[in-house]
Amino acid sequence: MSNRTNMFNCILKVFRREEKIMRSRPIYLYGTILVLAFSAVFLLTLMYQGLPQKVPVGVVDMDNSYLSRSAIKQINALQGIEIVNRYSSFREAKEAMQKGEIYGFIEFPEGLYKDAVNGLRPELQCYYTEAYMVPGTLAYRNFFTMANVLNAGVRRETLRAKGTDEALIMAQLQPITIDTHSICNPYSSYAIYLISILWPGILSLCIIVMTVFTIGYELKMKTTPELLETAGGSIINALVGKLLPYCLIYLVLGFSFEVLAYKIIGYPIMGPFWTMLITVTLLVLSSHAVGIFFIGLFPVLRDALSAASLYSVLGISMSGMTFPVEMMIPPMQGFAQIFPIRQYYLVYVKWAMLDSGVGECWVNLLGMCIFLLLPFLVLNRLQNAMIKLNYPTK
Amino acid sequence: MRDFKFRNIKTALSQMLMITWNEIRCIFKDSGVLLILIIAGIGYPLLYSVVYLGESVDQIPVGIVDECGDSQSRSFTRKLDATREIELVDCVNMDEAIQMMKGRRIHGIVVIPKDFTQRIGSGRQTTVSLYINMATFFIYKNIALACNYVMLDEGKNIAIQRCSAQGLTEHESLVAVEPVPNRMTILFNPGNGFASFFVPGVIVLIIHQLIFLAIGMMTGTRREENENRKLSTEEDPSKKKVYRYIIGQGAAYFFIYAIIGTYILMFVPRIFGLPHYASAWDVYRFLLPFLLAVIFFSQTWAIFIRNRETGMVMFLFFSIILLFLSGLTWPVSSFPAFWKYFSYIFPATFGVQGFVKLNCCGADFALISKEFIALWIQVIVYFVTACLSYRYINK
Repeated sequence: MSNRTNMFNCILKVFRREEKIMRSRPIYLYGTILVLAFSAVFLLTLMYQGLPQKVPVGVVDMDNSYLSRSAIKQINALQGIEIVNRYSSFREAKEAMQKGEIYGFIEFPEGLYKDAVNGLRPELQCYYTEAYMVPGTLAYRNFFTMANVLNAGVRRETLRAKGTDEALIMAQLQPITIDTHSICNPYSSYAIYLISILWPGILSLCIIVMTVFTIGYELKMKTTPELLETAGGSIINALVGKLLPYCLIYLVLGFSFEVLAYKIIGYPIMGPFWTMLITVTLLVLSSHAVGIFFIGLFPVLRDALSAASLYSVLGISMSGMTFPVEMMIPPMQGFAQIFPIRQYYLVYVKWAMLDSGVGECWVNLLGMCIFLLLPFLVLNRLQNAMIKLNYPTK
Repeated sequence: MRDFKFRNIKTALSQMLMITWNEIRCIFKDSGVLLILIIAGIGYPLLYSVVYLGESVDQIPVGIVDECGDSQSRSFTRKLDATREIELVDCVNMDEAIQMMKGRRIHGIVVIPKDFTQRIGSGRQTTVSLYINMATFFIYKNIALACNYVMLDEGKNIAIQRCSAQGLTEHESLVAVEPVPNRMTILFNPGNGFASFFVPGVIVLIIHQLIFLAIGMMTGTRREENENRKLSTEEDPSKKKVYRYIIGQGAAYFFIYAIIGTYILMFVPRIFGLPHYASAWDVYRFLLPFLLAVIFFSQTWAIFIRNRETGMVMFLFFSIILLFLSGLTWPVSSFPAFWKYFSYIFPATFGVQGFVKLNCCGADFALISKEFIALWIQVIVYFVTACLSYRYINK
C-alpha cells in the first residue's frame, strides 16, 4: 500500500515539474492547443460549403440557338457549376482551363438546333479536367446531368406532340432510375469525409512529435537524471508523470473535436457516440506510445524528431481516406497498418459510422492496443540513455 | 572612384562565395540537416509515388441483392459486373449485404426490386436502389459513376427496343431516344489516375517543406550555439552588409536544390510515368523564382526559431495546411476570401499551381505568367524581410 502511495506521489511530483516546464516556453502551448485549434478552424471554415458549389466552367457556343441558350440557362440553374465565361473557340477555352480559370467547358457545335430537329443527331462536346479531381469530377457530373436533361427536353417535345401522357413520358425517357443513398453522408459532403480523418490525423501527428520533443529535450539539456530522481528512480513513473499533462490536454482536445463534429455540427454516425470517444482515447494513447518508441530508439532529439516527423506526415496518406489502401501495392498495404491513424480510420468507419459492433472491428481495436506495448521494447534503452547521457546532444 | 566601386563589388562577391562555401560545409557536417535536405529529398518523392502506384481504383467489391432475378435483371447486373470499377458479390438478402458492408468486405449495395422486369415490361419506370459508403472518396466516386453509366446505357437499350417494337427503324429509334448525343472528354490526366493528379503537386510541396525545415534547423542550431541567440559567426559581414549573408547562405541551398529539384521535378515523374509535359527550359525558368522565394521565405522565419528543433515542431503540421491552400484538393474557386489571400503568403501555393499547370495540363509558359510574377514578387518581398529579420536578430 505504501509502495503504491509512493508511486502516486512520484508521478504527481513529475507532473508538477512538467507543468512548470510547460509554462516556461511558448512552444508547449503552441504544439498542443494552438496548432490543433488553428487546424480545426482552418478545415471547418475552408470547407464550410461541404461540397464545392458553383465550380467555374466555360462554354463555347458556336450555335447560338434557342437550344444552346436554354442549355446554358439550365447549367446556371445547377448548384454544382457556374458558367463564368464564354469563349469563341476550343483553343481559347482550353487555354482558360490550362490557366486554371475553369475546370471544364461545353462546346455547342454549329447547327446544333437545326441538326437536332432534323434528326441528324449532332454531338455535344464536353471537356473537363482530372488534373484537379474534385472540381473536375463535379464538372463532369453536372455536364452529364445537363446533357441528359437537354436530351429529355428535346424528346419530351416530340412525345408531347404525339399526345403521350406525362408519367409515361418519364418512363419512356428513363426506364430505369437509380436512387442513391450515401450512407452516413446524405449530402455527399466532402468536408465530412475529409475532416473526420484529417483533424485526428493532425492530432496524432502533434502527439507523436511533442512526445519526442518533450522527452528528447530533457536528454539534450541533460536534465534526465534529475527527472528520474524526482520520479523515485522509476522510468515508468517518470514517463507517466511527464506525459500525463500532455495526454490530458490532447484527450480534452480530442473529445471536444468529437463532440463538435458528431454532436454539435452533426456529422452522421449510425453507431453510438461513445464509440468515437473510445476510439479517440486509443488514438491519443497509441500516438504517445509511438512517440516514446521513437525517442527510445534514437535517444538523440534531432534524429528522433526527424524520423518521427517523416513518419507521422505519411500517416495522413496511409489512413486510406482518399486513396483506398486496398488499391495500393501489397507491401504498402502492410506498411499502412503501422500507423495509429489507419487503425483509427478503420474503427471509425466500422464501429461508429456503420455500427458494426465490436465483432467486426476488434482486430483494429487490438491493433491500437498493440501500439501501447511499443514503449516496453525500448524502455531499457531509454533508461540507460537517461542515466548515462551517453548520446550526442548536438 | 570607379576603381573603388569595382573593388567593392569584388569583395562583396568573394565574401558571399565564402559564406556559401561555409554553409555547404555546415550542411554536409550536420547529419540532421542532411537527412532532411538530401535523404528525404531523394526518398520522399519516391515513397509518395510508390504509395499511389495503384493509380486507379478498380474492381471494388459491391454487394448485389437481386430480388427480381430473371433475365432482364441479370442483364443489368452482368453489365455492372463488367465495368472496370465494380466487382459484384452476390448477397442472399439485404441483411447479409448490410453485415458485409459493416465489415468493409463490400463498399456498396445495389438492390434490384422485385417488380423490376414487370415495370419495364409494362412501360413504367423502375428504381434501382444504391447504397454507398462515402468513407473513402474514390470508392464512392467510382461506384456512383459505374452505376450511373450502366443505368443510362441499359435505359437507352430498353427505350430503343420499345421504339423498334413500334416499328421505327434503327436510326429513327436512336433519334427518338437520344436526339443530341454527348461526348465526355477528359483533357488533362485522361487516365483519371490518382497518382497523376496528386503526386505532381505533392513533390513541389515536398521541396518547399524540406528547404523550410532544413533552413529552420540550421538557423536554430546557430542561434542555440550563440550565447545571445544571434546568428553572427566570424565569417559574418558587418551589420550593414546583411544582404551578403542572406544571398551567400541562400545560394548554398539554391545550388543543392537546383540538383535535387531537377531529380524531383524531372526524373521522378518520368520514372513513374506521371505527367511531364513541361520542357526542361520551362521547369528551370519556373524553378528559379520558386526556389529563391522559398529560401528567402524560410530565412525570414529565422526570427521565430531560437532552437534547432522548434522549426520542426512548429511547422510540420503546416504541410497539410499548405496542401489544402495550394488548391489541389479543394478548388480555389470555393475558398473563402480570407483563406485565398492567406494562401498568397506561401510560395508553395504558386509553386504547386504553376507546376501542375505546366506538367499536368501542358500549359505554355505564357499561361502561368500570373504564378510566375507572383513568385518574383515574393522573391523581392521575402528578400527584404529576410534582411530585416537577420538584422533584428543581430541587433
